[in-house]
Amino acid sequence: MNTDRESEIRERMTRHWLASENAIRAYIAGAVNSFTDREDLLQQVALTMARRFEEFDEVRPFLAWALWLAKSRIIDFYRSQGRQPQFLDDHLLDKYAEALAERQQTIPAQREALEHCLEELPDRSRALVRMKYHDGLKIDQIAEAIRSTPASVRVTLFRIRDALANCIKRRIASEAIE
Amino acid sequence: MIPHTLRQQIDQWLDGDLPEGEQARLKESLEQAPEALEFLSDRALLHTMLAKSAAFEFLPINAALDYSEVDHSSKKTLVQPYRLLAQPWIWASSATVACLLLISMLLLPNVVASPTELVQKTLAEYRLAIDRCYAVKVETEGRALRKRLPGRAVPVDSKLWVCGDSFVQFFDSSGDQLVWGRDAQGAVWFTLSGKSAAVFEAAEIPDVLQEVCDLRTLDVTTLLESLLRDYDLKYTDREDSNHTILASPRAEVSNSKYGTVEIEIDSRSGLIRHVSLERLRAKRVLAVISFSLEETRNREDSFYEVRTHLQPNAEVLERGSGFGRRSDLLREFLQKLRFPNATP
Repeated sequence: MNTDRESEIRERMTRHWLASENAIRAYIAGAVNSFTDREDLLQQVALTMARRFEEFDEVRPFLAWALWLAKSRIIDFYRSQGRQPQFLDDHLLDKYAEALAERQQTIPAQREALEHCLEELPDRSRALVRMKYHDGLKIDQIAEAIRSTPASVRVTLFRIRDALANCIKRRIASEAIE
Repeated sequence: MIPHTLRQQIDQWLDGDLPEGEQARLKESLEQAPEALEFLSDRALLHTMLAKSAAFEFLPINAALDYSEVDHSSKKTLVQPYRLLAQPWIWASSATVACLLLISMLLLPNVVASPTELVQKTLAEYRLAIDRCYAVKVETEGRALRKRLPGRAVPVDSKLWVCGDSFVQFFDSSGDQLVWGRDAQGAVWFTLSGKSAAVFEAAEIPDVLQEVCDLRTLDVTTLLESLLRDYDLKYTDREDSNHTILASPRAEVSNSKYGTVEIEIDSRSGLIRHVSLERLRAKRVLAVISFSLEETRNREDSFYEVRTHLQPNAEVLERGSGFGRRSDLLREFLQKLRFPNATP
């Protein structure tokens, strides 16, 4: 394979991966409970995808193919765990992949809306979200840091996410009207 | 509609925080309810996008300090959450901000937020804030009204918990405890001493119940939005962080629910400490209602649901319960609410 062709394949692969990474991450997060396992699985999916990219048929959607690879890795992961049953069975994993693929088109708009919606949050709420997602703290660590209880932190984060989800919907709907 | 508990379980699963015992239940729900899988898809995407958001890189310094200073006894919690604070540019920026604040305080002692800015801040804080409990007093205006409604001759006291659009209010009436509320789905419910209850979905709330809702509860969002839109605001008192605003309806506003409103806000936290408002009907004062903040505490969402306030075998009347039993219970509830001191 000549260098031009290699770099062209690499470029296509990277472009596809970047456009689909959020959905692939979401897929793994819905199927596996632990953060470390999720990160390991994401790496495995990326590696498998890179190894087998030549098999990918460009006329078909990349995300569906990547989620199919991810499904195999998730099933392997649960098998390797022995007694632990699979959280989403094979049928649900397929349904879940379909649901995410349906949302794929709207993800860029959702990301953009989210940035605006985060700006609208009160500072303290944004600080809480930052602890969770940027600093990677667990719920009980956040509770300890802000002298609260894990239950309170859970409820507050749940409400913040609800507010963000509604804000994203509103923004996208209003942009669609304009 | 996906039940709240299920939505919370999905969030907890995505947080890696769902106890093993509940994982099996969530798995079962996902298998049975297609809409739950849809919610999982939406939420998982939101979690993923949040983790990759650029917004946190530009979090205002004061917000980071707000939470980082809470626990001085624990090095772990002080340092780990705020890796940001360990960065030299943050300290340099903080020092610059502190100098600027000091200079502005010395040079511009009278610069404070206007009443409108303070109400705007309070509204933003309220939308995502913790649950608040207010002591409520309703005093009816005018002798004629008091004569006609002897049960209202003394102020009616109650405790009101609010969060967003949800509320729960507790009254004592002739030996019964009346509890009513609105849950996150907008359904209004009430119960007499937890023995029986009635629930009206958001689309079927009778006018009379809606009116009582408006009269006796504090719809903070509507109130604050209305103050910003239709009122002239001025400070009447400013002591430390407690700012009192007197809001007078503008002359051109003809259909306001409220007359004069006095509102005391903690300017630091954006918490409403006290509200006293005139409730109008056809431009006449119907009652003066006051709300005084008693406590703030995070409550589970289930606190705003009817089941939480019922005895184990209580009957819940919903649409289709038949024979007008729900309406009968509503009449009894309103009667007890109107005449709390009447002999049973």
